[in-house]
Amino acid sequence: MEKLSVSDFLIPDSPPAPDATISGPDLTRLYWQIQQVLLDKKESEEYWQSTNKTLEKTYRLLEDKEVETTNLLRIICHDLATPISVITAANSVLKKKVTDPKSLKLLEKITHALDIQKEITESVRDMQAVLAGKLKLISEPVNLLELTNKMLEMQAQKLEDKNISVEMNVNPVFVLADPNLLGNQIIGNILSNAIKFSFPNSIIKIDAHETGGYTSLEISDHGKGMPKNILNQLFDIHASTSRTGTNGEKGTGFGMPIVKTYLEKMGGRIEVSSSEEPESNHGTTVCISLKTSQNHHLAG
Amino acid sequence: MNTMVNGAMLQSFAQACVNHKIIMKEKLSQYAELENPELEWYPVEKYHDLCYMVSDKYDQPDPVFRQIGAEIIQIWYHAEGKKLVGDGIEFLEFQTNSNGYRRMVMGPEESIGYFKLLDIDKSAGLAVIESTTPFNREVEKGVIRGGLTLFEEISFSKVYSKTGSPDLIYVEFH
Repeated sequence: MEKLSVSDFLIPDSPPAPDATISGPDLTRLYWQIQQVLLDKKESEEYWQSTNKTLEKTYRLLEDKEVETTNLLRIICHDLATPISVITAANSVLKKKVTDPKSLKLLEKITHALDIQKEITESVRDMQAVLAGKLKLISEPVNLLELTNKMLEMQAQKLEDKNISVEMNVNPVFVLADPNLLGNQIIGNILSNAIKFSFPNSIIKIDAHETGGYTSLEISDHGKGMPKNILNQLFDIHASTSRTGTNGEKGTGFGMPIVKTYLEKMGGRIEVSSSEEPESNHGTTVCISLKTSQNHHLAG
Repeated sequence: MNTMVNGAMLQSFAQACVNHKIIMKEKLSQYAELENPELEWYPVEKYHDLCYMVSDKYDQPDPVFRQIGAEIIQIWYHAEGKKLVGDGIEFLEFQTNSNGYRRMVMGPEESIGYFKLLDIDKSAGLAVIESTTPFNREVEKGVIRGGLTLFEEISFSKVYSKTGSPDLIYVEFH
């Protein structure tokens, strides 16, 4: 006699033959197997109910922690801003009064340290605002050539200090972006890095090209490049990627994660390649892409 | 002498907690020797620490304790149990005689208690176990239930206790 299993009973492949019978022991076994399935189901439901409640509790705890952390960072950034402003103002006054070269050098160090401190607090504040969705982004046609030139003008002193020349091949193309963020936070940041890691008397190349509805802006320096471990973690805000420039310039390591976050919020993307090859091809290329504006005449 | 728990039991409990994301895998070695855990003995408080972690995480920990118990016995069965027991009845008898529970705990009689098979009716598929061990009763129920599911001849098993007498564990098996 053919032995039936639970699956045969629950989901029959075909109707049983008219003369099929189940023996007494098999029927008993089948009965208990079905009882077991029902009990297992009940116990599984109890288990998952308990697990789900714990997950919900954990989720609420994480949410509370996130709010606490955000508030703490906001308070720290806010409370740091006032003393930084006071020190900056006092430092400026002192710089005007002090004539001793050694003291002036020390005051210059204070200025650099304050700049970095300001950059860190502003970066953290900006990042928090973006992550919390509090930063309102505008999307409008932006003249890439005009904006890049404006950013280069702002970096003119740094370019001059290292005698770096810029080769630019950018047509007056328009992209859809928030002009302030694209300029100050994205292009400004990338240019600042390119200058920082360029060797004195070298060239920075800036190119733009359009493909598939997107415009890419490529900024390449011939500086010291970066090692693979730094390159791999460049956009990780938790990783320590801060390095000094070719003239000892300091950074925070927050710049690139912020650039990426802003770009993604604007529907753009970023790619970075870098080489430390001492003989040739050394340096870093950063390529950002944003949607090309088809109605650029609207920008005026 | 203090009450001590065998490292193998502690390790399989900790491993089950890792499976349930109650403790991190990296912390497994904090709970028992990884190489030869059966040769090591630990204070029973370590077992209670693990129980506390489960209770602390879950508002309703009983189903999780039972699941952990089932996983503990499955780890034991695949490591050495299948050489020692051949069917469900043997399993019940093994766990409740000196080879079973007593291999996992040592210390003063009054504190290690017992895990005794009070009654068994093989034809009716009923058994009653009395437990006075320092271990968690729900984990013990899970151990029995998880163990019985390992044997093909057992089509059904149910392990429970009645309100008011948590130390009496009733087992139905068919």
